Amino acid sequence: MPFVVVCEGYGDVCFVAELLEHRKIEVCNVGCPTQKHFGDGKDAIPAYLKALATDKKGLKGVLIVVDADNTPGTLFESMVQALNAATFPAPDQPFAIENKEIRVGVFLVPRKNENGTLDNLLLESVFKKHPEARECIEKFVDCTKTSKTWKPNQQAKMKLSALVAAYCEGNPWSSLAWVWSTKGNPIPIDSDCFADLADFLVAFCG
Amino acid sequence: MIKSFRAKNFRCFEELDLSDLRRLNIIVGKNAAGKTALLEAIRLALGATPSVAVSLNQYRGVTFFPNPLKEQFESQWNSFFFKFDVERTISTECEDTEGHKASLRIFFAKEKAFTPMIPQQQPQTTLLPTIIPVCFDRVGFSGQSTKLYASVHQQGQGLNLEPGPELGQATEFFASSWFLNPAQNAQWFSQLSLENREQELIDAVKSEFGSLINDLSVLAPTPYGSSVYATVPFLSNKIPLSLVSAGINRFFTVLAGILFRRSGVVLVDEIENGFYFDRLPAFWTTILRLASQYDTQVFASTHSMECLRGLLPLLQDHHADEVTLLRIERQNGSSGVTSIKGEFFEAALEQNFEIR
Repeated sequence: MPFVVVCEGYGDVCFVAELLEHRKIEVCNVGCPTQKHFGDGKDAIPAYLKALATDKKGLKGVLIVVDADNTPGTLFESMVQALNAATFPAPDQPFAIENKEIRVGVFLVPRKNENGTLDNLLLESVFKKHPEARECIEKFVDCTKTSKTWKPNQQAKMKLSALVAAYCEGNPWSSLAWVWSTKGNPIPIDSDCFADLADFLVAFCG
Repeated sequence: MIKSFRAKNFRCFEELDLSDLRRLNIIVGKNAAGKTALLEAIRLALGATPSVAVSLNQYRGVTFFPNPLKEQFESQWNSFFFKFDVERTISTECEDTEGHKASLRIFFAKEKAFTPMIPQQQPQTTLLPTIIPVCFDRVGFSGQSTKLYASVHQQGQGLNLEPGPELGQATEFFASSWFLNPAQNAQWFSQLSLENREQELIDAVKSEFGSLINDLSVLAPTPYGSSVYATVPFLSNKIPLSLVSAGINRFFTVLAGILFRRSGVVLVDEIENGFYFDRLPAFWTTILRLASQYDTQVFASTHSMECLRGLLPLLQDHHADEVTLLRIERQNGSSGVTSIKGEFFEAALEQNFEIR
């Protein structure tokens, strides 16, 4: 495949792969680092890019899709460094498509001018499809007292997991990797919430 | 140590340019990509004699004709030329880390063509077809220029390989078809022993196979020659190392080659043969340690991912700068090499990328 999307973890890979299939993009592989030797998925992206650089034959583009978290500027700079260290060119800014010797880009999830993670984005899509779920899950957060001690990113992850479990009768244990083929999946892949990322993927692989 | 290597028109390589060679150079690639040819190119470049070329043919199973006719003589050399095109000139150039260069050109020397004659009853003689000798035009690391020729004797009786010294780098080539040579092992061990260096070799073998080997020595108990013998637990008599384990014997031979070819180059085709997978990390560590200690450079080819994975602990232990991966691919009838630095090689192994 001429284009590669690099994600942080396997759950992210499955989501992006689902989005690519939905948008009928067939020229793109999606991958993520193995995390055996690394703590966080982002920490392993430099090694993954170096591994990718060992065989550039036929490679036309590398797109990094990572969570913006609370420090998108710093995160973007670290991705630029990782691209350069792996002998790839780097874009001047996030959400830009640079056509150098190969095409490169960095997309910070959820979208431009917004902090957060993929879990926030997926949660947003669930609430849009199932508005009734918002009140339920907030009550659940209060009951379990997680809101008082957990970081916002962890809260989003917990809410999403709880909702997936609640809706997926076919497999309440379903992870983000398996939810797409599980009966009752509450995450609508055709949601407008994913439009920015999906449009960027189309533009990048076009 | 060789820092860069270039070759033209040799076997499957129309043009080859390796510019950042390291202490340990690992060669990968599909069947018929040119892994063995790369090792042969380096061996030939450093040897640069007709005899070395003939020995490469023998490893390949090319029929050797001690008394060749014209076609048979030519068949000894044709396969060295890219696409068997003998109108081309094979050339190689090695540069060491101190900037010294050695070069070799191999070509059919048409100006030296001659017609051998078989003397019979005078005044009659039998004329044989014209032979064009093969010239090995060499420049050593010292800058000295010499020419050696491969031909047949003037009277048509036998191959004539002009002898000469190799170009200054001690080289050992273990082809994939190499068989263990007890006499050579014994000779190397004895030579190392004369220099009081054999203990390093014994310790290296014992460190990997201490439960099987207590000691090593060279003995000649029969009139058929000497061998390396092992003192093994649970047996009262010493036995030939080759009877303990073919793999251990092979390990011994490669290490002995590294010690014996001090400041030289050791080339090993299909290095993984004979080694159990969990021995490989220690195997590589020992090879690199001894190669560094004795300033020997190693080029080794492999098809085995287990063998490559065995390098990961070494790469992660701050040795990535001493290793490079050379991946050979054949496209449009010619082979090319991609050099992959140790840190990238390490990343590809960590991330489970296919790099063979």
